[in-house]
Formats: sequence, C-alpha cells, structure tokens
Amino acid sequence: MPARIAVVAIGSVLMTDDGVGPWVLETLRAHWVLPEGVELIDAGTPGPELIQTMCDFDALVVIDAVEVPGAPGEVKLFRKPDLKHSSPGVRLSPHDPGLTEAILAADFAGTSPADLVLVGVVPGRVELGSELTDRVRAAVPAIEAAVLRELTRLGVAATPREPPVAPTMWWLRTSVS
Amino acid sequence: MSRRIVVDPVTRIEGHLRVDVEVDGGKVTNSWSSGTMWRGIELILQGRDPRDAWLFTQRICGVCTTVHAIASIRTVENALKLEVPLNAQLIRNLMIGAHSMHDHPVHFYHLSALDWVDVVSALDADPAATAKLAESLSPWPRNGRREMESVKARLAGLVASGQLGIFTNGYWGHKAMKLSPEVNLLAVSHYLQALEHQRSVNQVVAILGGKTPNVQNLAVGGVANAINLDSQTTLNMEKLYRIKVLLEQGRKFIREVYLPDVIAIGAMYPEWLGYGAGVTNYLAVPEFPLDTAGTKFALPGGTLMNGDLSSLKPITSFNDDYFRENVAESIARAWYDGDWTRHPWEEETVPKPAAFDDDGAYTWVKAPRFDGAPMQVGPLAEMLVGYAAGDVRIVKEIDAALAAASSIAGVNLGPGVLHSTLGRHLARAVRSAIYADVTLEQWELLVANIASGDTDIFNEPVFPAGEQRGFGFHEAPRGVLSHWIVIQDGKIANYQAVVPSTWNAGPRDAQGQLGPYEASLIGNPVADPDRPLEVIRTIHSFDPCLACAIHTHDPSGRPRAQVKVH
Repeated sequence: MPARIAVVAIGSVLMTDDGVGPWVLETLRAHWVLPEGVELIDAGTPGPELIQTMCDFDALVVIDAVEVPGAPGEVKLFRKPDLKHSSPGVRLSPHDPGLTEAILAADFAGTSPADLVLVGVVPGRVELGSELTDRVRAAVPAIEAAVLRELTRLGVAATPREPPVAPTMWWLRTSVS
Repeated sequence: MSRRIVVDPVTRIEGHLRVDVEVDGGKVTNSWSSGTMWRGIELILQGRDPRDAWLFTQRICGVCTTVHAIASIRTVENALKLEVPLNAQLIRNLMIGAHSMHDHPVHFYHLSALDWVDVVSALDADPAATAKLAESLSPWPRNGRREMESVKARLAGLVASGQLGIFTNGYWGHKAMKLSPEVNLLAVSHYLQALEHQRSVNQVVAILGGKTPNVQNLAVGGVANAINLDSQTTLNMEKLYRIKVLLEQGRKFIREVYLPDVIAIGAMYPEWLGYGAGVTNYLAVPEFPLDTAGTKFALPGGTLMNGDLSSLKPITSFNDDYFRENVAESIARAWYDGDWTRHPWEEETVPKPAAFDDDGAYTWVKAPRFDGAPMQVGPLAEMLVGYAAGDVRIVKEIDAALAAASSIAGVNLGPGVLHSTLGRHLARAVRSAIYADVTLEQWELLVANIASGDTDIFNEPVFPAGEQRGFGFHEAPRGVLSHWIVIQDGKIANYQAVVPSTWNAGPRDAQGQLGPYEASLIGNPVADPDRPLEVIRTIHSFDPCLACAIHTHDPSGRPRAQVKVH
C-alpha cells in the first residue's frame, strides 16, 4: 500500500448531479472504516488548491461527474495517462481542465501522485439544486463499489463500520432543527 | 476595420465568464462582460436555518470558500445584533489573513504571471546572471545559481519531451512579451516555490478550520475552537506557535519573492501602468475587526469617486448606514424577468434565458451599483481608500513599492499609475505584505487575550419571532463581498450575495454605464486579434475566480477567435 492515499471528491453540492462526488464520499465515510493514513477529502470545486492535493499524496482516487457520453449514473474510469493527455478542447469533467492542469502542474514540480484514477460518473442533470437525480442516486452503491475496488487494488483494506451509521448529507437539511 | 474577440472559458461547473471585445486599429473599441450561468443561492437557502447558511454559501465558489463562510456568519449576527467574543473575532481574523496570504501569490504565479513571463524564453537564460539579478532585487535565499540551473534543466526536460505540459496553452514568443530570459527564468523558479508557499500558509487555515478548503470551525455567534492551553485536543500553545511559524514563513515569501517580482514586472512593462484603468470609482470595506461589535478595524474602508483621493467617504462599522443604504443591483441588461434596480433585501431571482444581445440583455450577472455608480472593488480599491484615508501603514508600503519600481524603471512613478492593469497587481502584492503583518498582529492580540484569562469563543444566537434583516461584509481577496439576509420566524426568507466578481464583471446598467471589466478594456492595445494576450492581461489583473474566455469578432459580428483563459 502506498504511503499516502486519499479519496478526493470534486463537485458542487449546490448543483444537483455535480454533487455526486461529495455524496459518495459521505456514503463511504458512513459505511467503512479505512486504515490510518487514508484520507477522505471533500474538495468542493477547487482552484489551484488541487495542485497541492496532487503534491501531498502518492495515490489518489478522485470521484467527479464527467461530461462523456453514457447513461446517467454510469461509471467511467480514467487513469492518470488518460487525464494527462486529454486535450484541453475536450471536456472530460465539468471541472476539466482543473484536474488535468493540476496533474500537469504537479508533474512539473516533480511531486505528482504515482497512481491516480478518476472514478467518473455520468450526470443526469447539472443545475441549481441540492438533490441528486433519481438515476444517479440509484447508482450510488455501484459508484461506492467502484471506489472500493480501486482502494483494494491499492492495497487498502476497508472494513465495514460497526455499528453502521446513516450517511450525513448536511446539505439536505431543509428546515430548522 | 474592427474585429471582435470573444474570450469564453469553457470550464467550471459553477459557470464562467465570457468577454467579447471589438478591435479596431489595434485597440479595443467596445466590450461586453458576460457570466454564462445564473446563480441562485437564495433559492437553495429559502426556508433553511440561518445558522446553516454559511455551510451552503461556502460552496458558492471553490476558490472563495472561507470568505463566503465569514460573510454569512457576519450577516446573521448583524440581523440578530449579536456580538461575538473577542477570541472568536481574532481567530476569524487569523483565517482571513492566512487565506489572503495564500490566495494572492498562488493566483499570481499560476494564473497571471504567465501573461507577462515567457516560459520558453527562460531556456535561453544564463543561470549565473539570473542569480546575480535576483540578488539585486531581494535577499531571498533560494535565488542562487544552483537553484536556477536546476529549474532551467527541469524546463529543458519538459520541452525536450515534446510537450509543454502545464505550459501548453501559453502565448510564448508573443511580441507583447518583453522580459529578458533571466527575468523569465527567475519567475519560473518562483512559480515552483509558490507551490510550497501555498502548502505552508494553507496549514494555518487547516489548523484553525479543521480542514481546508471547506472549514468546519465557524458558527453564528463565534467559533468552535475550544481554547485550553494545556489540552492536546484544543487550541493550545503548541498549535498557536505552529501557526506563528507558518505565518512568518509566509510573510517572508511574500516580502522577498512575490512583492519584488511584481514590482520588477511593473517596472519592466511601464506602458501597462497606463492601460486598463476603466471605472475609477472604488469601494472597500474595513477589515480585521478588533472588538466584539465590529466598530474598530485594523484597516479602513470607504468609497472614492472618479479616482479622486479627496472624495473619500468612510465606511466604519458592521452597522454602517452609508454601506447599507447604497448597495443596489440592476437587472436591466441581464437575463432576468423585469428591469428593476433594487436593494438586495428586495431582490428576487426569476431567470429569463435569451440570446446574447449587444444592445439588450447579455449576461446572467447582475450589475451592482453604489448610490447609482459602478464601482471597482479589490486590492486596488482597498489600498487607494487606505491611501486616501492616510492609513500610515498603507501610505508607507505603497510609497515604498512605487519608489522601488521607479528606481528599476528609471522614471518617477506616482500613485496615479495605480489606476491601471499593472497597478492592480502592484496593489495586490502590497496588500499581501500588509495582510501578512496585520495577521501576525492578530496572533499577538489573540495570545495576549488568552493570557489574560479569556477563553470565551461563542455567544448563543437567539432567533426572536417576526422579521429581522441583516447584512455582513468582508474585504475578500477579490474585493468587497456582502451578504444580505431576511429572517422570518427563525427561517431564511431571502438571501443575496453581492460578490466581488459581480461588482467587477457586471454588465451595463439601465443608464448604459459600463462595468469595470468592460470599461478597463477600452483602449487596450491588441497586437494580434487571434492571440489577444493584452485583453487577457487586463482581465487577469482583476484576478477573476472563474475561468474566463475571450471571443474576437469582425465588424459583421462574425467570431474570429475564441480563447480560453483560466
């Protein structure tokens, strides 16, 4: 297992399916206990701070909505070489070229992660709103499983949280508690 | 013959900016600034708990998370007339200061510097000569020959690989690039060192905020940082000293690298101290509150009109009537239903999508106005307001920066040159240095207050029945940010965020007055309409936190060039 590993969620929880990354991250946090040294980071919609994240870890699993053909909720994996060579004209992710630029900047600084995978999710709708669309919400368990497979590949052993807790999506709180 | 350029950045889900310019005879003759996605934070917030608002507003912009959180809690506290404990005020001040210390240099080196620095030209630099030049500019210890050789070798490796990687889309070899290979190499070395600076200063926000970018330690009524100097889990002496060391390191980078670089670039492109003034009405709010109610501040705020330093009207407290009464937004030229100009408390958001119309509506961005006037916001506004107010620290630092630039340029540069494209960069670098000093002073004040026995961090908010209205402002890295709230029976009834990039990137209003981006581009030179580097320089000088793209058009309105800018 690489020394420093993080699962990084990118996306806006105020923009419906663009918030799928943070949603899956909170689901993971509620369901699994990860070994010491594996961080879960809700990066929101980062600017140059993402370069720093690139520099701080040896392996990254990034979860984000991607603008590629496919059915809403479908998972598409992209690995570091795919991301580095995605032409600036092609919108791989709604945040692209943010991710690509962050990798290239970290590469130039000589400190980019050796292993990086983007667990991309095809969004149904991206507009103002704090809920996922039904099809993307239904796909959350499959996306969670895809992230866990990548963690297993990296040698990370996740154990089920006992007792299980319900995920906390603070952005769904609608009224005064 | 006139040509039109459109700068349209196709990124960022939260929307992006688009700038259209018409070019005639090598100069910009007209311009339109447009936002491509509407925002409706009020629609998300209606009916929610005012104590939760900051969690949501923190997500408005991924670059400006902390600043929207700070503005939001100040707004709810203002509505409730709730003071916060001094410790909470000072801890927030530390976060505000550290955020600016991180934001300005990183955005300069990663987004703006490459408008002036030709990375490829750095391959022709002599590392020994570069080190010698650097020593004449600054005592920074990492400007030596071996450092420069190593950066040059790294750059050569990148070029030899056949790909420019992160530097793929730059305007290398553009005839508006004028720095020597040595200055270019020095700047590339600092581009790399800025990454280390970012990591270091950002740790201050992470230590206090629990994490970054989205902090967790704020609360309406104070902060959630328990203070116990003897406990491992609370804010203790060990963490406070760690913060001090990180802030001192950050100040050293700002004073010995970022500020001297910006002064040198300003002096080496003196013509850019003449372009890009645009709207010279300035708005800044006071920052670093020093008491529990927000009536005393470390730095002043106010307005200036028509670039006249004698026109200063001060803004002096979190309850300032002059600010509260005079902010309004116009939707005359934006894609919303209606054509009103309203106070933020009275606004509504009813989108009405339409085509881009030069003579009608052309943006999702509303046009904020102060007493009817367009205002430029940002570090330049803050520094000029402070200069006009005679703030001792700001006067001293601005005069010193201008003197240093004058000595490199060989001409006498007075405060008048600040109304310009490079003036905005210079003001931002000076602001960073001042913020570094003020932030360390906040640290001293916090430690002294704790040492006096005060460990209070939170005053419980109480929501009475009925309606309360509040506003909160913050002098954010990109300028004046204000949030406005209407609370009804403990729930949010209306909420508006009037953000810096709306003040600066906003459109024309019902009277046809151009917004600051638009006005600043008129008269800008454009040597090559297909590579509108000069337009990008002026837009980047405002430090937009959104991606921005530029479109060029010919006289018939046919697009000629489309350029992405980040």
